[in-house]
Amino acid sequence: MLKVLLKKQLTEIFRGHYYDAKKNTGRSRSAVIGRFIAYFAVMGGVLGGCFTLLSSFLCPPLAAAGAGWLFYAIMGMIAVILGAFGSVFSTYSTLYLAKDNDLLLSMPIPVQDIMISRLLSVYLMGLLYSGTVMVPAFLVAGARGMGPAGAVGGFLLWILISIFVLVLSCLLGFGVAKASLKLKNKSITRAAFALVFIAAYYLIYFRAQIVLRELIDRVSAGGVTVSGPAWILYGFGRAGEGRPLPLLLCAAVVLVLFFVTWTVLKRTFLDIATASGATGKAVYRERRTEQKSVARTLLSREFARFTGSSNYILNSGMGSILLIVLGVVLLIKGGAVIDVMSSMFTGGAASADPASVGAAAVIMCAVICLAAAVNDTAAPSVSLEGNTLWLVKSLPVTTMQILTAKLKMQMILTGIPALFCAVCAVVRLQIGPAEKVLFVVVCALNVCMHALWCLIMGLSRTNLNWTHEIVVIKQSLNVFLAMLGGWICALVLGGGFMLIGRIVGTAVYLALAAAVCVVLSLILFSWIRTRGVKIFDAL
Amino acid sequence: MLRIEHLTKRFGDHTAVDDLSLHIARGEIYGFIGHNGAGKTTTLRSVAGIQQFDAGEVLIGGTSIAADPLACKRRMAYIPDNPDLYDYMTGIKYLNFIADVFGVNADVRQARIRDYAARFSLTDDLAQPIAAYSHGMKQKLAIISAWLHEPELILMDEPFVGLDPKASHLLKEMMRELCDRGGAIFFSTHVLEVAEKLCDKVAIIKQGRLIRSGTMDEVKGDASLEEVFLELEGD
Repeated sequence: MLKVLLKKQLTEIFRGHYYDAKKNTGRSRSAVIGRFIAYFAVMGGVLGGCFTLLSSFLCPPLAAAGAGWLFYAIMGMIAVILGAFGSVFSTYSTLYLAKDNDLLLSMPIPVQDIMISRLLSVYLMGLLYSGTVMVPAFLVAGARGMGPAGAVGGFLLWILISIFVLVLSCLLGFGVAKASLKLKNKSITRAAFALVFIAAYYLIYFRAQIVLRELIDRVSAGGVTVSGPAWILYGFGRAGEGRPLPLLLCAAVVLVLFFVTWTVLKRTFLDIATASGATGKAVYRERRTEQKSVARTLLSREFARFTGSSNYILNSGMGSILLIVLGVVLLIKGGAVIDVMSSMFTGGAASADPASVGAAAVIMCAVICLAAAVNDTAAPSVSLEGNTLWLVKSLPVTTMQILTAKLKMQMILTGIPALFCAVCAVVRLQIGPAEKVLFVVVCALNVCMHALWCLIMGLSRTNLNWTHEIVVIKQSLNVFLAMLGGWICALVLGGGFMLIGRIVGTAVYLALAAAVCVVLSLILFSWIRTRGVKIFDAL
Repeated sequence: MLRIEHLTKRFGDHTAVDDLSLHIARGEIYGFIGHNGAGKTTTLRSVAGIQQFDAGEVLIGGTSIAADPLACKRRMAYIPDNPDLYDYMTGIKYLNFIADVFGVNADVRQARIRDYAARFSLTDDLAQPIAAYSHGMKQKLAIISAWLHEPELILMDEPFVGLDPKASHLLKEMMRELCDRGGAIFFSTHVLEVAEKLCDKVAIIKQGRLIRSGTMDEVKGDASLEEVFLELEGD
């Protein structure tokens, strides 16, 4: 039975690889294999490539200095962060909100089998994301300095990290589920709950970073005295080196944590999954509602969908919070940040020349674009229509009006905080008025271009038959590509300055960037108006 | 009111609707019956402008749905077999959303919502999220939203499924009222007794092809609709 459920769950996660929605048929075996290779090549090639470089840079000197544990402590922490990013917000909806929960519960299937199959997808995401860090780490460790023991230890550490990430995900999922049963405005509450969790999580992470820095300093000074909370990281790193005792201790801690979490989930699953969550009936009071235009109505519908789903808010709208925080940080500490960035271009000299300040401005502009690219509401918005697609298609509205509403939502959600952030930055930057205006314009145009790109990704790879929304919000390739596209643009903006910016000057470079954004946006918009509309009509 | 001319819809090699022609006049309640997978839903979705079709023509009051879908959609409403509505909205927000799209002004919509919600005993639940509605309540909400802009043509796919007897009775009354005002209704059903009592005309579809249509008397003669249907299905 479990095998059947696991197969169903895996098919659901990788549905796009097996099924061609455009032709309404299954894909050929060779196409399936090809798509899997491409998927893992993108994950392994892009993310894995970065971490292979990092590992190659860190591992040999640390291993030679007898501090291989420090290498694994650093890589392990990154793996936990990335693994949690991949799975931590999926547990609640995957476990408790799956559309087929009632169906499966009505069948003669042990409840724990349903739970295991559900958690498998959460686990796999954590495993995949943490693997992009840990697989290169243990391969590099094995090949360059730590030998087979280091490689085997690193591999086992990866497995333990993936279980630890699952425990973190389950704890948040359980907390959110319990809170949801009692509170109104569930989606907002869930999002707030998750944000508190993130804050606590990053607090611990930054604390661990401080400890790690202290350890690095000690290693640099030739000593390896470890005390206090540093022991945790030290033990963690030692486990990665393949030392039996730390490995056993780490395994014991992780497995005990997992066992306790599993027991709690198992005891409460049925109650939570089948609870109505009723919190008292809202009283209807008739009141006059002003008539809205069609465009405003469709935009309101998009916002209602966004605010009605904590998954959507957390996975597609975090960039807004990031931009606001970044803006406030720039306002308060902007001077110091700009000085540091400028000094990077002057080789550490105290007084920065205008060219270096200009370079710092472009890099800051790229950072804002990078943060803005975290928002991708338009990418899953087409798939999110799901079973309700009939509704909007039966209404007297044009396809372009529907798509425009999706674009507008992302532009508003991202554009306002991005502009705030950009204004905060230009207040602090010592650049000319034209450069300041261009800085803000480039940020704004980049937001528009990314929204268009996200919508194209959403239209290109639509999945209307999901069993829980997290599949299309988080686990689909189009969402990954949508974000990746935005990040690449931001990196090209920053990197391009190093190539031509210093020759043409900051103002000209920003003007060129703005022009490129306009041209690309027009091309993308034209695609949506022609091919995009046809694709949506054929859904 | 509705003219379907040689409608054909294919899904790959499978022809779901094959050269179907039907004419539905103002004032008529037109029943559409057939076995599961006969092509009823595909026909209704094509007529509603939800689904593109491969050949033929659908005219709503003389306007082609392919040439001017917006003008056609403004004159009609569609209720699917499974009322998947926006779970993230409350009942009242959903009704206001529909009213806004159809341009129903504030005073008129307020009066209509009050009237229809009271008739279906849904007033107290309008502030609830649709996610908390039962299947029947969603069906009632879908019906109210369909009637909200007073369409001339209503397309319904199995509209009585999930409705309690009182709501079912009320729906039949509303269907008749709409047709008496000059509107038209085209709906599919498996409940042959309802079709027999309610419909002015009926069409029977089998494997995408129209096998019989006309007034109730023309189709069933002295037999019951069930007998005729089973006989035709057995052929």
